Amino acid sequence: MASAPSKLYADDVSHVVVLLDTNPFFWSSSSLSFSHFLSHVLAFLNAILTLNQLNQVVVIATGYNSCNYIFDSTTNLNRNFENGRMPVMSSSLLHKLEEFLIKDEQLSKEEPEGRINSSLLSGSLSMALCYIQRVFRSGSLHPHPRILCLQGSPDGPEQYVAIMNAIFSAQRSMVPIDSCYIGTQNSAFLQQASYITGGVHHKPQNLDGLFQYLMTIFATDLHSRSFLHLPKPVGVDFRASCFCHKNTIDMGYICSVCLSIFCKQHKKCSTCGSVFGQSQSEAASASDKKRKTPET
Amino acid sequence: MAGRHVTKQAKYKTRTKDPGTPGQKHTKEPPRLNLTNNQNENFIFEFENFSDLQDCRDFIGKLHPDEQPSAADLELRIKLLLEDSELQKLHKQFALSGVLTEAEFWATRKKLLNREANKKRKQRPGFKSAMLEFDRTNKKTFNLTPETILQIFSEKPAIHRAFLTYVPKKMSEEDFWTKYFKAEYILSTRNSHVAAAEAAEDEELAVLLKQDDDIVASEARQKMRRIDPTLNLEADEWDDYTHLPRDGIKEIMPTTDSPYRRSIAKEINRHSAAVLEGRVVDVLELKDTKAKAIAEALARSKQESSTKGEANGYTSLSRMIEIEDLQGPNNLPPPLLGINDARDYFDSNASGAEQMKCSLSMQEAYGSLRDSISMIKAKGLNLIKDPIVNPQVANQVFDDLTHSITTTTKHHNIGKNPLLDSWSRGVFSSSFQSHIQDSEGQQATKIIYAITSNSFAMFPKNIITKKMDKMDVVV
Repeated sequence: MASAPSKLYADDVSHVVVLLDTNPFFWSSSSLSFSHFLSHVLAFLNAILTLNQLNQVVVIATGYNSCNYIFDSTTNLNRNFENGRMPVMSSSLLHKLEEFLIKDEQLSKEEPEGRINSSLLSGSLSMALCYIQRVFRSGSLHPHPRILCLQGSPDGPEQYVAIMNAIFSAQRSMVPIDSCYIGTQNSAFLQQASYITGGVHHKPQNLDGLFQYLMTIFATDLHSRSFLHLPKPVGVDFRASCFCHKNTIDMGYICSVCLSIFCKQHKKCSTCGSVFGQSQSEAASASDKKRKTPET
Repeated sequence: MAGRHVTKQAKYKTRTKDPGTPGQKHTKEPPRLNLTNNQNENFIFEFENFSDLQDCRDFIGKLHPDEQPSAADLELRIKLLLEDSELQKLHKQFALSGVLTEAEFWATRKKLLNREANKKRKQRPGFKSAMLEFDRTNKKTFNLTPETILQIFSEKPAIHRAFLTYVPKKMSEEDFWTKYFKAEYILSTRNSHVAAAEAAEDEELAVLLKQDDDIVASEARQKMRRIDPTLNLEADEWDDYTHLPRDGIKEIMPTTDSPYRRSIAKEINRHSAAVLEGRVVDVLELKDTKAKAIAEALARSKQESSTKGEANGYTSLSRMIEIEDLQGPNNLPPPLLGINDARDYFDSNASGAEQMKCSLSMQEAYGSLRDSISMIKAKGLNLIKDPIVNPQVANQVFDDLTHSITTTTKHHNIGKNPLLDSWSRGVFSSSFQSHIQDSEGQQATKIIYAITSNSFAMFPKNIITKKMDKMDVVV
């Protein structure tokens, strides 16, 4: 990829793309209030920017209907304070976030039925990767990029392929995806994303200390990580669920065309409609028989 | 068949329900043979034991005209058995031991038989691979059959052409053949002077004596046009391989001084080409076995094949060299990936997610989110009760992290580092205990807080040094 080590400023300069979950349905049911969450995150972003003068931070809001960039430290050079309460950058972030939420609400069409729907993680991941690709191509020198997902909404199964594609392209371009899951159950998507891309996944136990978790685990640059003991996943759940009965299975059948997973053998793939050839399997078994005869 | 009659004792019945011999209890179904005639009438025979039944059934099965295979079928079956050792084993196990009758055994393999039969039909008889050899002695007995004539014509295009031009306008068929064998004899003597003398006397003979170089060359040119242009023809100059050091020959032989050797090589190649080409004209199909008819038929078929070859160009060539075994099944349409509804694909993964209820409507949810933003805007970052890192919470967080790190490192067996466990636990808990005790921790937390405040530039260095001293004491 374009990210040759020689192109980095130094090995400890980071370019962090933070994906902020702004799913209103999750936050209205969460134990941690959104305002508390934001104050933790804002402090954390400030901390990253001050850890190294060359560090950069980009924030992307992962909404319910849309995603958008709400903060970019490369364009936001004003690090002064606004009326003594908070830095200009924090207030501009909040302002953008408010605008984003209004737009996001306008985009929504129907009320969610019962369960909390997922936020558009696949969209924000793609935006983050696009941004990082631009950074790679920006010039001769650039900081080492990484992605941090601050996610609370449950996994959106309909985004599965899009998210997995984003994960694999991140893996290809050597961009680690760190993830901090603040929802109730753990997210299989984020676990796999961090596992595949070599990032860190953590689910904080005590959300009041979120800032500390963020600082201890996610603030350090990629170079320093090699010297630190960071939480490792005890195990990542790689098991898949079958598409026919939605059961989690250890072994199953996979469509050779679309890779749909089934717990039983079917004559036809219910997803892509491929007919699993009878004649071919017959021929194969016949030739197998023939091949085996000399051994017996 | 051992004999024409098999005699076994049996009871004849009209219905199966009839009781057997009175007083005798049957624990098992008695061996019965049920026969149906053309009028759909049933004849039931009850035998004393199963072997009797078997014998009778076999006997009747053999008598039955439907089950008598034709000679061709039998040949096919034998061929299949010879080719497939597994089938042979099965046949031995079932058909020969009498578990299944022959007909039953082959009934299940109709497909196999049909396939074999189809294969057979495709094959056409070819030429004998033996070369034409006429006794080139003084004795002159020639045996000309239509078969031989066809072979002469296809292997010697010059003779074929001469025959077409001279017979029957200039000479009779018999004369032609006499002249042909005379030429053949003269050639066999390898005496070029005699050949020249004879040719001067008889112009027809001269034509027959001439080598068919021009025809071969024109044919070769025609073939060249159909050859894959990527082929390296320089490597083998026509039929002549003598310019290449082969077969252990160290020296390249001079080609000019051995015209006969060359002609023999050409003859052999021509012959093999004719054999490979196969029989384009079926002599047996031609009712008229006269040489004239054969010659004309051959000329016609040559014309056809050449025009066909020209028309098809390279495609005909590629089809010619298509080997059945190497071809993939091309009748299967490529399956298309057509996901109609993405939800079908992904809904399965939703099962893992617990159904979290959301009581708020959309407006309420967005409203509460916006409220919290405006709240943080109004109150600034001091929203959380000062400080952002609560010492007690911080202690819990460190305990949690230490625990998870130590358990996973132990789990992964990467480094059994007892220091990590004891040090982190001891240091952090005691250092934070001290924070609580002397409230200096409150100032320490300003490290983070300072970033958001004006005092960032004048970050009190002495706090850090103090803290470091304390840590040293603890360690």
